[in-house]
Amino acid sequence: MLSQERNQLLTQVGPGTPMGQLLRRYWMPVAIASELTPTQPTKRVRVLGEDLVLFRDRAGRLGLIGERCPHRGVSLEYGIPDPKGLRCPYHGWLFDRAGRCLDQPCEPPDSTFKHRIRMAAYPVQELGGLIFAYLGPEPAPELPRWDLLVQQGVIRTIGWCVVPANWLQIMENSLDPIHFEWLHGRYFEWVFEQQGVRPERWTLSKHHQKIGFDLFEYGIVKRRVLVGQTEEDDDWRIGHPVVFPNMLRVGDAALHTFQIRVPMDDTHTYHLWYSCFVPDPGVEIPPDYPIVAYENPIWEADGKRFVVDYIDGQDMMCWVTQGPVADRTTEHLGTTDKGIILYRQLLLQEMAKVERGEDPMCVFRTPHERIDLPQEHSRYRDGGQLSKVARVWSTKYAPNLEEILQLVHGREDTAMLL
Amino acid sequence: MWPENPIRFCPHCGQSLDHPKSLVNLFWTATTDVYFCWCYHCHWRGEITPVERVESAEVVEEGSMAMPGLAPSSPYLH
Ligand code: FES
Ligand SMILES: [Fe+2]
Ligand SMILES: [Zn+2]
Repeated sequence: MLSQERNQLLTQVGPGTPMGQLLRRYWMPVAIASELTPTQPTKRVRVLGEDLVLFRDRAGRLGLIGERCPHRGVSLEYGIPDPKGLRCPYHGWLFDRAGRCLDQPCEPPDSTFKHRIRMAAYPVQELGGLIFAYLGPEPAPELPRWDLLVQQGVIRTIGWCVVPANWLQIMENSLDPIHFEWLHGRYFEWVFEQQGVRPERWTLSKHHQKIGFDLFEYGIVKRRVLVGQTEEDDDWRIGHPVVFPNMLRVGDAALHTFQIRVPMDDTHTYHLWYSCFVPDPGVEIPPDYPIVAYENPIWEADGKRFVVDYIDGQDMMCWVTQGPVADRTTEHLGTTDKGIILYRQLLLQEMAKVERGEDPMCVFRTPHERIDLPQEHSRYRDGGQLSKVARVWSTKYAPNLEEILQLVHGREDTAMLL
Repeated sequence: MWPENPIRFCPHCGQSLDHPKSLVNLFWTATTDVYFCWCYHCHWRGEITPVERVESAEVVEEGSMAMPGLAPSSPYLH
């Protein structure tokens, strides 16, 4: 339980708020690269309380500038790409990637008015099929080359969803290991029962005997010991990290994933499921297999019921039903919630670093090839367990999932739990 | 509801824990309220538990020699 004041401090992300200032120290993914095409070269982006437009100009360069034209406020989402930037559809003003106005076609030719126009503009970079933006103070740090973003020899998919909930309750879900045995275990069994489906065995319901949290260089490592396991099992010995401030890394020998939570504003989060399928030993995969993007649904077709028959839909049901901003003045945390408390403390600790003018955790200033993270191989003593549940979690909605499973196994996939 | 003024000062540096950038996070165990605290001023971190009833966590077993500081041959042991 927290005071209202602290709940606001931890959840408000707009410009000028302490949490907003901390989060602005990080490169945030704002789009999947394949969203920008020659016929749709713009995307409206809301991030950390700012409305922006991402675009690719006719020279192929990316830009991120204020959404509204400074002339009379029309959205540049409908802008016309130009070799030098983006033109407003209304009267043709041209803006470059630095937010300068280069041309006002209807003003007198010798007018210097355009030099007085300036709009918000932020650096953007593409890596691993994602487009990242940096909204913080200059100089921008290095874009972290996390292992999965640069890994060779895997097949990637990227799921996305705009979740109508504050970012913090989504992150806190990642510090709550025991929800797995209930939400994705027992609750899933109940959903199966409602649907008249009988999975042979549902390992996700295994009971947690012990959970642990350790700070490490890049965030917090979560560990668990399930019934029948010891501390020698990967789930405890290696564990998997919450990468500070807004990323979960989870996976096993067959599937390595990130879940990235980008705060759009106080009540919306752009959620990405970044999955890398690892081919079985000796299996060759096509070298240029495309990265396929897909949307993960929250709602059934009626727009009222949550989609609860896949793992991430279950998570979203929990995040959204906590309310747009979870009320932490009425929560009742128990002993299994200590990971959540540790994460809150870490946020405040790193916020204080920013106030002192220091770089917080996971801000990198030196160029690097790749940053490796801990990776479990056999979760739940089940080897490549995650790929076995690929049909009931985020990747369920990848239109090419069956093809991917066939490619990475080099044969028809049969080893599925469902 | 959030209790009024639960823990007000840092036990380490004595500055106010009311500072919103300090953490005072209440959680519960079976028998007690526990305040997880982190001080913005000095970075001290600890858990504070109001004592409702004085109890001994472990009872020394009868005949046990396990009394700290007393050798088994001590004349004080009977
Ligand atoms: S049992 Fe945890 S939210 Fe209800
Ligand atoms: Fe979950
Ligand atoms: Zn102190």
